[in-house]
Amino acid sequence: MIDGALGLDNGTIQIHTANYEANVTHLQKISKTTTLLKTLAENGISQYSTRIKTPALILAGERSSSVMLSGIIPEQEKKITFIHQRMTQGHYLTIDENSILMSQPLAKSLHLAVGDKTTLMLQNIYGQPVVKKITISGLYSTGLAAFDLSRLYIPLAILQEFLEVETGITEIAISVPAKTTKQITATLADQLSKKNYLISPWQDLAPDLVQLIELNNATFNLLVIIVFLIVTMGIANTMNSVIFERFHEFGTMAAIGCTPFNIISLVSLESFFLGVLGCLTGTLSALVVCQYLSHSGIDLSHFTSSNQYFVAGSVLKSIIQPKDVIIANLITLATALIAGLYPAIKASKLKPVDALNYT
Amino acid sequence: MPPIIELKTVSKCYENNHFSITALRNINLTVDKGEFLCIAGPSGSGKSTLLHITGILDTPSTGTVLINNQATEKLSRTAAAVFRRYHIGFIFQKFNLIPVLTAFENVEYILTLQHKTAEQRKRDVEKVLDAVGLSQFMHQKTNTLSGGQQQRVAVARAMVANPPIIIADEPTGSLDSVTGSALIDLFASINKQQSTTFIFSSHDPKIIQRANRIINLRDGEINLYG
Repeated sequence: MIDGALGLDNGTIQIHTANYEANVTHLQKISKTTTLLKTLAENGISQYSTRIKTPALILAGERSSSVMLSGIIPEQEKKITFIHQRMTQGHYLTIDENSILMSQPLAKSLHLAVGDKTTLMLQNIYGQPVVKKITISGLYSTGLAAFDLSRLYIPLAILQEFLEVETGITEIAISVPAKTTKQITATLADQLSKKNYLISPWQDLAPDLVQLIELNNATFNLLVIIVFLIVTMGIANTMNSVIFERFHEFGTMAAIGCTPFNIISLVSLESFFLGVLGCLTGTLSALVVCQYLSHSGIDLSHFTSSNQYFVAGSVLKSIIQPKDVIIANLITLATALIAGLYPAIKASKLKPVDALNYT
Repeated sequence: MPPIIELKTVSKCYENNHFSITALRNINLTVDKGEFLCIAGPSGSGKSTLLHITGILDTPSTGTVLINNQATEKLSRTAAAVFRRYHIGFIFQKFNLIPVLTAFENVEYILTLQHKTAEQRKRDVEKVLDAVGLSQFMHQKTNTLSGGQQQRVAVARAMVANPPIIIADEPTGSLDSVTGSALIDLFASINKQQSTTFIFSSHDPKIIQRANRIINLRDGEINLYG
């Protein structure tokens, strides 16, 4: 889900100029890009995309639409987003092609098609209006209407020329494993001047995603607690039934010389081994199912078609976490032991004659 | 020589909120070492209650039970269990074997409780199973044996630790007359060879008459000493 959501546009870390403000129309160029890119290389970061993002108006005859125009280097962008995988017509951008990439819904609303020429209106670095005719090279569709209707892509060099910013960029999107994001963000923050750069991890870029993950975790934990309560009651009930059925046997054992402690020890040991057997069987079965689901996953596409968090992929795949396996097994084992202890103590407290006559 | 078992004015009353039943009334009884004693009487006369109290499986409401001159009614559960382990063997009407264990394991269990070594246990169990004629069945699960064979396993379990007393509650109750008679022959043989005190209950006249002494119970009271 994280990969899917971040692969739409954000990447896992973004770098902007220090005084960057979102939703501001004027160009906020990053300074000293050469130094910045050198620092990224020194930290082993090779998957990044240098971009310019600027608002624009697209005109097609009597129709028009305001969009966010992203100037990208296509080969870099492929490492950050999955838009190139969602082409429906035409082809993805090439580095020096004077063309734009538009979503299919936007093209439909503007009555445009691949190969058509359209007009872009934007503001250059000096605040002067720029109007350019440009060809549509391809159409994409992410399935996310709000995104598709507002995003256009153009080769970075072409946009730099339109805006007269030479080699200037406004954003670098980086892709690193989500788990290492905070560490790499901290490293870059140490090495890069705070006066010049604003380094934002995906948690800052997509707080709604963080909230969703937290909500998801809380819901899942609640679900796990409910499942474990049901499992606990099941085990407790089974252990109770098994041990109460054997009261007569415990009476015989007491008659031939088993002390109450012997009986409690015996039942606890049996409960422990039953628990171990249950854990082994359960873990093995779960591993087989999880292994299968880690490849094939569970397809949620019928439920997630318009959800930005599932737009990259709506197949949930399982991940086996050793910590979860250990905790689940410990809970099961403890449950079996505790569930066996109550009837064991009860059996040990009965007079042998009462246990022998127990029906 | 003092009696091996002595019951002094033993009574047993079962009570709850709704009713009270007196199962035994002022029982006075002495049993000498090596006796072959039968408790006779009809169903509900208190035979089982008397055997349970004698074997420290239950406690009397009043009175004293002395075994080897030791008062047993005040023993804790643990102390009573340990006492039974070394002094009393039990044989039940329904055999009360542990079905998941083999004949050997059933007999061996009490020796495990007595912390005997594996070698000692093997030797003693094989000897006693041979004595009851079950050598060839020793590694069979007991639920695959006939009723007579199961009761002989129970006898082997009762005698393997050489207790001075064996208590048998209706031991022939689940057996046919021929098998039952053979079982009493086995009891008599053990009694004679090892001087083990046997106290068993029955309401079958053919079994009762095999005893050296008969105590007749009726309505919780001894009404006839044989």
